[in-house]
Amino acid sequence: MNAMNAMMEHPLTFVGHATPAGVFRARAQEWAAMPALRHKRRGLWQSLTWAEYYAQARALGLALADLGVRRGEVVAVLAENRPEWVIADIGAQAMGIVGNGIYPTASPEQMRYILQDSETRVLIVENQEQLEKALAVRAECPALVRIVVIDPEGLRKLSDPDVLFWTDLLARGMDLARTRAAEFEAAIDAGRSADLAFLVYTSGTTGAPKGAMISNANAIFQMQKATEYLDAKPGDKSLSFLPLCHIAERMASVFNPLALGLIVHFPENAGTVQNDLREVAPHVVFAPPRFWEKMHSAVELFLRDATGPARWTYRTALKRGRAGVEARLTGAAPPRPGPLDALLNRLAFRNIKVFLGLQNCRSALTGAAPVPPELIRWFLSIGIELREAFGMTETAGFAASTPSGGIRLGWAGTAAGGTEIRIAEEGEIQIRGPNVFAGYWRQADKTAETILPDGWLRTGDCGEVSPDGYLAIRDRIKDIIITAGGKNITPTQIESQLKFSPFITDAVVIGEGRRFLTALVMIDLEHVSRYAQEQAIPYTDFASLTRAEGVVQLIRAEIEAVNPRLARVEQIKDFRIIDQLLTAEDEELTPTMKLKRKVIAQKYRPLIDGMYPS
Amino acid sequence: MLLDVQNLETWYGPIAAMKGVNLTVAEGRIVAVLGANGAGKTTLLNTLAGVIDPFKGQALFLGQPVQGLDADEVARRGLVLVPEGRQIYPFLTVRDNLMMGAYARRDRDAVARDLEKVQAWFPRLKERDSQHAGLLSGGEQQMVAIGRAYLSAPKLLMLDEPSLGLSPRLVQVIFTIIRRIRDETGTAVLVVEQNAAVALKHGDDGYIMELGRIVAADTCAELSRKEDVREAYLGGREAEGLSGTAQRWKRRRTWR
Repeated sequence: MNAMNAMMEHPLTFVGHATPAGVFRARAQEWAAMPALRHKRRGLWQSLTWAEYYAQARALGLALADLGVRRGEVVAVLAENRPEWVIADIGAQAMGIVGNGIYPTASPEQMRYILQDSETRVLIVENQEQLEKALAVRAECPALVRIVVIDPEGLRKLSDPDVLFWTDLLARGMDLARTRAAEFEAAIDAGRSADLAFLVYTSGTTGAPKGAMISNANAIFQMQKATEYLDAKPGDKSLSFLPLCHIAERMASVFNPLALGLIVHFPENAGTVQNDLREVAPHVVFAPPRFWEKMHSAVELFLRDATGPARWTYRTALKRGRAGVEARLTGAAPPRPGPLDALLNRLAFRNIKVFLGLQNCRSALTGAAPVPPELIRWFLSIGIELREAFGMTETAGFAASTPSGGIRLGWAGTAAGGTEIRIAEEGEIQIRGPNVFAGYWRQADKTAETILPDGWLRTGDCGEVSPDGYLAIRDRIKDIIITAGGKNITPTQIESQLKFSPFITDAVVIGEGRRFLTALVMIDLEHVSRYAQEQAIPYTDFASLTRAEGVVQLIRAEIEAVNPRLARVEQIKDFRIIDQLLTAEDEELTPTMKLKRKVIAQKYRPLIDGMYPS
Repeated sequence: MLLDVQNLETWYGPIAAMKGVNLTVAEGRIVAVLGANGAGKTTLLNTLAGVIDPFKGQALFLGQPVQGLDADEVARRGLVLVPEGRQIYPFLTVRDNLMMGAYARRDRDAVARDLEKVQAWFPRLKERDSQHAGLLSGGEQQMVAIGRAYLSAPKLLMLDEPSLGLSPRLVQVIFTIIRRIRDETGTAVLVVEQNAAVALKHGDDGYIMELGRIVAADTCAELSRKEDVREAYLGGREAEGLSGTAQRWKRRRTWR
């Protein structure tokens, strides 16, 4: 509790402010005419300056208060990433209202749960489609007073006293700001370090989702750290393409820009991300390994169809780059690059980086899932230092990250300055410091299970810490498999190696109490169907694709390529392909499209048992 | 297998209209291919009929590859297309239009018998035997097109949107006759349709195409039961949305 007391006396500050809203106000004056947000609409980028950003956030904050939303109550946003999302979030927070996000893929049922649990007062939805979901559950959410629709398309005929449009709400707020702007300023001044800033509902791979409470102090601490682990200056660019409901993107698109002056770009839609990335060429990119893997596969597949000389240049450049990477990783002196290397670099890697939109990228980070070492090697070879970071909702974002120039394969980096990491019973990683969240919304028992009385956060992950402070994450403790032979297996590591294949989207390793390990594999429809067509493997629907002999052989070969890199007991002896096309609405997947281990193990029981002849 | 299409791929310049289609038609079956505009249905029939050459893949008709053959050679082998929009000869009589189908045939007696059959299926055509075909109604023109195709002695009749521009009642009539042709002569039918309800009702086996690929394959009865098919093609969940507009929230279709 000492840390807590110290915090009360000397609250954490960033550029002299103890709340993100305070920083926001200061930045809006400092950078007033500089662009803050950009959104692509109908093919054109439209900018919002910091002054406009602030004015809109203020209007929204005042309008929400005018609707009767009070300090400490919750406002939720259900939309794809767009400026309105962050304007609503920061505008609400400035008034002391708690921001929350709901995944656009949420089913009405999932939505109802979150709206009820958080007692959301105002829900901001993206469009007619999301409005339908909201209307379907509105009657069961008594706390909900208003639904705000951002995009009015198709709703001309709508007449509902409790549904209003974003532009009207904003106009109302702009009106209020003329006479009552001081209320907004006073609300910012009234914000305290320990107050709640926003909620993040955890995806809930087990049980119902829980609302993790992130305080102003958590956010301020992460903003301090952003200046340490990100190499960026005002006017640098970022692209907001991961779900804003996720802590990582929330920090990256709402708070890091306040700290660093990044211009946040919002893609036109989820389908245009690759293109927008190329166009924006961001300086800072954080994405889970899956995203980086897709970039790698895109290059590999693209080059497969390229001309002979292009392929030769790429292969040669990669081989020579790799030698340097190995030397660098082992700490030896890298071979001195000659003129040929410089040429190859220009010919191959420069073009690849432009192709991927990474030519300006100075801070490339990945995390949220185990990172295959091969992936980091590849990016290092082409000249991108892909650094690993470890964090979770409960640490309000990053808790450890690889220092620049300090990549060690298999290690996720060092603890954020000012925090402690220890390994407790069962090898559990525990974290203490100002990044530890404020607990679960209205679930004191769950909070007590997670934060120990002396302030240590139980991460539920197990791992180790090296003598010089590097952290390695092995797996979720509850996911560890104990085989019939008594061996402890960390499935996530194996799965991450399988997922490195462009043909495998996700995999679940099975083996609890069994004699050997097997896997259920979810194939990548795009790449596998393309492969089937190239190899003239006939198939019709998804199920027939998964059963096609050629596809089964392809996946077998991918698994057999991974097996030699695994210890004998970790090797995958058999596998089955999941024959249904799963979507985020299915119970088998999390909103971020990861397979839920427990659900899969239950649902595909017969398939699994079939791999273990008695 | 009468027709066995394997990984057929067709491009229009830089655009892939069919990205690998696999489909089979067994003897005596009516097979329906459904899909939205631009899914590649017509491209499929035109590729099979020899109008377009595929970039990749093969089509085995009676065990022999037919992809890339000239259209007339394909038709001579018994794979006959009734093109979209009928394409009859407006200034020829109904009889002459029909007889154009038998142009390549030498078996005069059999042609005469087939003409009688066509006239029995479509009595209207007999009544208008000597009229210019251009003066016929749309439904009658469709009858001419089907009759003309039958006179080429097809083993597999390929129909491209026979319901196009016809009244609901006429659509039923046309499909009833298609079934009758199959029942009486054993001719297999491959029909491409936007009118999914009627195609699923009269077809035996069905495929659903999306963006140049088959996404679902089953018997028509089974397909009609799938939720995504009902929603996308059969107007299930037609109910008005709560906001007073017709559209409900989208789900990604999985066709299971």
